Amino acid sequence: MTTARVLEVVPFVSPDAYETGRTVRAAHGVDLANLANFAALGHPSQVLHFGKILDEGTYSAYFTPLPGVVDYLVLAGWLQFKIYDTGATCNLTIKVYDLSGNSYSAPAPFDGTFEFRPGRDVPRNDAATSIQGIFSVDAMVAAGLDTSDDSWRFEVDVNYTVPYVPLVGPHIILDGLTVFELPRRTVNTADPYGVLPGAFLPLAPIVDVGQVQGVLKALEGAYNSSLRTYLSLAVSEENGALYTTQGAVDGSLDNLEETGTTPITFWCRPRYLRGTTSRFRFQVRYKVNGDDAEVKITTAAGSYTITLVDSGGAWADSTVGTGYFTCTGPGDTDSMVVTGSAVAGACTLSAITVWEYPE
Amino acid sequence: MPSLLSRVLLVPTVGGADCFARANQPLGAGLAQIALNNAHHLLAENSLRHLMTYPGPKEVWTNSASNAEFPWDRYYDSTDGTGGGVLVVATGPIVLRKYGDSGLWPKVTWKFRWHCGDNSGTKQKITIVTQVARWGEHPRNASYSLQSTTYNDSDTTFVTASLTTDLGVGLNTQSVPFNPAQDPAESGTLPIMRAWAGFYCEANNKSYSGEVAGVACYLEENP
Repeated sequence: MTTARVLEVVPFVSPDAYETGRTVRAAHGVDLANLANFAALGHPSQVLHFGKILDEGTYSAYFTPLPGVVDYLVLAGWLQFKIYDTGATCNLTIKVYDLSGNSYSAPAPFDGTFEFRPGRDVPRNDAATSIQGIFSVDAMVAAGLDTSDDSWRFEVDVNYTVPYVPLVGPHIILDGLTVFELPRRTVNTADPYGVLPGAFLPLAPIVDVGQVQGVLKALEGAYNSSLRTYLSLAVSEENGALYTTQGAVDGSLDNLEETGTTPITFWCRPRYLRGTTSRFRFQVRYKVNGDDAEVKITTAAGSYTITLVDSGGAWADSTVGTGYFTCTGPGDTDSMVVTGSAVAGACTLSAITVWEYPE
Repeated sequence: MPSLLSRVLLVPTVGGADCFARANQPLGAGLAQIALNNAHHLLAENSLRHLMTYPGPKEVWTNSASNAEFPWDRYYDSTDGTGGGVLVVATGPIVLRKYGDSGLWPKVTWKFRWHCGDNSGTKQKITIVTQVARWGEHPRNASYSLQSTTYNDSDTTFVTASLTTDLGVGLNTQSVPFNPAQDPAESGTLPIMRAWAGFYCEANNKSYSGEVAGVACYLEENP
């Protein structure tokens, strides 16, 4: 294992420097290595946004695990009092699950035992109200989570000692809760992506084919690993305003309607890589009883459905669906709407995540 | 500079039988140009990302004396009558990267659906106020340019609008320490910010409230 720092700036490198007939210099390789490393390791983009949490209970969001590329997940939250109450505290239990149900349980203070509480009369977004946690992806792998899975589920269980009741008395809430991937600061030859810039020495012949392959490999990593989360919706499984349908025909979901039965339109700017479309994955947390149900995402490129297998009324993770946004060049935006149907009874969703899946 | 092709040019799988960089192959300028193009394009696109989506819909009916005095501390949903009437949404912390090699921060775009209130045929304007604050900084005290747009051309039907904020060269993002104990080699600081958007309506009367739905926030190219 050999390491080097990721150069966290983007130097100006002209294509003219790589013209046919020019003398190859060490800087040519060094520049390419630095650019490729920063593109691959310095720009992780998955963001699990739970937003403001008024209701206690279990919240979920999905992401693609990227061990060896992303080493840490960062949790950031903010607490607020409506009216100060010395007894009002919040505790969080964090778990991560793979598709087979193997789980990682975060250590203290995220094991449900620690009571978070901000100071009195602290303004919004003040550092004194914040909660920070850093979770090691290696620890999740060590706990037995399958790194070959298409997705893992990040679960937050929120408990308040004085819960929120609209218009009533003192209480505490999480003003915001977000989980994001921490960029890498080092290149490590033991990891799948990254090349040592120092391998390109002045006056030294390029004898190791791995040097040049390392640049191309790092660019593969930049292509495959900087995944955008396009939609991350989560409500409390126990107490939230769940996304529900009872219709046998595809239609809008309760609590995801703009007006009447018109579903809410969600906008995004897909990462443009090549071609005329941008591929995404989507997955939901659901329960249905009596028969299968369906959830559908419609974009400008088409409609994409996943079948929600009868879960007997218990919460379950859906299979991972695949779809496309229309995206013909940098700067294009697309939109999506989420609809569903249930053959028998109600189909209920507590989490919907849509995230990038490069092809 | 932007990439030559404004897209990624795929090459055969690295290490495979057709790999352009396999052993004993001549290393030509063409392969270097492809690698440079792909690096430029990926650095630019990877510096952007989607930050959050707020579904709504939420009613807004409370006015603000001015954009500068927008009540950012009304952190409850507009369904809470006593503290409500305005809508405040915010991203979580964003690890910012300059857009490619432009040396400029990406722009922050809010895109959403809205309609304003209707008071007996008089449209009650809705205003969006956007702000960027460092991690731990109150949005009212943020030193960056506050931007706003007022809408009044749709009364009962939801329409789409967007507002893009240029953070400007003066943005001095805060460096927040991260020191994962497991691996000191990964310690360091990062430029981090949060983006905020507030919505208010001049009606000042819930009977004439407007609505906002599907608020999305994402980073866009700059320039």
